[in-house]
Amino acid sequence: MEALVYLTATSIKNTLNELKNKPVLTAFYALLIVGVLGSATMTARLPTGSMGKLLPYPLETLCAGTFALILFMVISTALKGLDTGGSFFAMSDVNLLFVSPLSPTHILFYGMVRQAGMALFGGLAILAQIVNLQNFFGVGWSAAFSLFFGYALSMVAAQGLAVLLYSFSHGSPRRKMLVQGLGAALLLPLVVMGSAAIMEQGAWAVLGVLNSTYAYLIPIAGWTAGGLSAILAGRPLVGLGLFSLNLLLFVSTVILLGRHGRHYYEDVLVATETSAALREARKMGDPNDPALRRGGGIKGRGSGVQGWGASALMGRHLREAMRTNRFVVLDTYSFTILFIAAGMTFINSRSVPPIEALLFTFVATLYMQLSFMMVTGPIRELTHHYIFLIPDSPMQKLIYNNGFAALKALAESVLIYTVVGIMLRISPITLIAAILANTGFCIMLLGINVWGLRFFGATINRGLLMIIYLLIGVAAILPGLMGIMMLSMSNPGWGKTLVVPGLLLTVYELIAALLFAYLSRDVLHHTDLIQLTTGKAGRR
Amino acid sequence: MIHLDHVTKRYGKKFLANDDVSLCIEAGEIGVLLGPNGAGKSTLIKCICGLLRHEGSIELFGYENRSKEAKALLGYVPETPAVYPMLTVEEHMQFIAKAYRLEGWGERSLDLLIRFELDDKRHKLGKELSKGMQQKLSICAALLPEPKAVVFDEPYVGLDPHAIRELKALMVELRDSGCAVLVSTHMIDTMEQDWDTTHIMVNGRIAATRQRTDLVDGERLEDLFFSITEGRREAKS
Repeated sequence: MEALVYLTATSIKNTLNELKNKPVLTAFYALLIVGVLGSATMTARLPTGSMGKLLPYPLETLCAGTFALILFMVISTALKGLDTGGSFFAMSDVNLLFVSPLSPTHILFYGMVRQAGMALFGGLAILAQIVNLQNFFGVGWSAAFSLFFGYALSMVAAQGLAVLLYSFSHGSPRRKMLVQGLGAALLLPLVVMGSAAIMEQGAWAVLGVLNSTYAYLIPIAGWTAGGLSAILAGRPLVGLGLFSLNLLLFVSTVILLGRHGRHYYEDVLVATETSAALREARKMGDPNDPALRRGGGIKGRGSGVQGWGASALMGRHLREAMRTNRFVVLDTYSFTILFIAAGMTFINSRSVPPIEALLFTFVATLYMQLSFMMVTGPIRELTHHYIFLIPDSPMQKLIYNNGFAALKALAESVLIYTVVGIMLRISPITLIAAILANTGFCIMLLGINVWGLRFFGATINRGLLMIIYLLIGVAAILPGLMGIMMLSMSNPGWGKTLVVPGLLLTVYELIAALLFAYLSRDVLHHTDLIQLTTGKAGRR
Repeated sequence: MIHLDHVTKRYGKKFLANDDVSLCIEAGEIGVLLGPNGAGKSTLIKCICGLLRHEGSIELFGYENRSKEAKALLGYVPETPAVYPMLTVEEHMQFIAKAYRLEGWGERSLDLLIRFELDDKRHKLGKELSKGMQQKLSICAALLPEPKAVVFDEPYVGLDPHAIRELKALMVELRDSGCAVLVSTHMIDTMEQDWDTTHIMVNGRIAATRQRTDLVDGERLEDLFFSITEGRREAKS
């Protein structure tokens, strides 16, 4: 145990020491702390009772949202666990700890405690949302802290569950099906009750079902949401009791696996190796990215790459997407953005007119797409040598390389605004304007993405790159937005449907995209093969 | 010694990674594990190191491979080096010393670090090391507890010529001190000089086991490998 304490303490000490040499990382942490403290100050100054009026059932919505979010994360973790086991160890643990004479139970405890620490760190983002929690749900610090601890505990329990499930199923399809069947049986009453309630009493009735005793009995997600609900209702002991069920599950996992401790290594090995290989491949821009090999073997949808010369780049992107994504151009990110956009629209539609709700969703979607697109997709192609070597003009290569991403942006916009449009009952012409403006923005981002390489060189930290691109993206769209807003003020009729502003914005974005494309026309001649670093790669 | 008796490793019901493997590496012997990609070498090594469940038995000097006693005797150099990013080179050695309850390890640690030219990098963090340096550190960490059985999985990948020479010399020293050494590698020529026994794996099974003394005049380890692996393929077709 002394060795594990030494390992943990030394790693923490070195991480803190390293902050001295990493100004960007230090600035990030400082911003996080300032954000949390700023939120606290703002919240403290708000007059009591002025908030929490945006939603008809704020507390129920908060608990139901917590339940849904954690349930989603638990299901994802459990399904991944069934396939590959838990992923809370690193390859260094496998290579140095697992083969050492240290007790497997102690090692498991160390892994899970470290996972808890990471979950707590990730949960800090919740504390930074205190103003939003106050605005939307009328709750203060006690709720934010409860949510923070509840979330962290649930994530630890979920990882424990993943290892247990893998240990039980152990690659057996029959046992996997049994586990999936039991999970579905557990959730089925909730689906039936929810559907019946919506049909009888309307959409808000689903809150009653998600806050029912049955929902609160569902492991991890239910315990966390139930605990939060009890704390908000002034029954902290009940709340803490429900939270501690997650802790109990975590401890039981350690004990149970510890008893068979000699055998759990395999249950975490596959996931650890897979995630290490993925991380490494992504960092190095490996063309054999294991992400593309998920599921093993080629599944349907033909084979071969379309295109000739530079257009083969787009053909390759399409073929890879066909193999990786069920919906080709729509991936997990697309559905995540859709999920968040739909949630925002649902909440905003209760408090503001449809056009304003659409605007809120539009801005939020732009922000999310900006974050997702900046360091993924087309820029990853520049981590491979092929694009540099193909004997075609650099401009053609860039256009074809970005072509797939533009197509993806269009498909995402159509999907998101079709759903949002149905929810808000907005005219199709307004939605078309929103789709075009959104797609135009993404195309502009693609232009910025490549153009930025002229200035930031071939080796840049991924986190830093995101911050810089975020600033450029905002700076690039701001003049257009301001101009259109001023024009809209002098033409009040435009604001009713947003069609004209939307189309004007699209034109502005496309012109900006063309400008960035022109400026980056020779970038392939001026930049080296890119090496994106995650901050974990070595500085020699 | 490392003793495997009818070891079988399955993934799910269908995939048989190791099929009824039996082999023995005696104390004071260098055993080489050869085989084409996908033959099951790395899986077998992970089974030996207690990282994977398996059927059959694996013993290290008479101890079941997952027992504390066996682990205290084993050194493992993995195929892909992975070190703790936030521990310095020296702290890695200190950590291993604590984990294996070693006394008076400082001098041996320094010796190993000097041999692998890591002594001037003692205060570098794991994440600041290149792949090759990580591999060197991985070797130093495995050898610090003075193991009686050492398993190397592709140890030469990423090493510079100096480190390759040192590692080859170290393997001979380990053998001469009575250690059982098992090396899995594709770089056959690196083992040409020093091997005692070779086990050639094909499709999860041991296709052939040969002693150095079995070689006829002028025959090399590489010739033996191709005669087993490609000879089988030709025979099949």
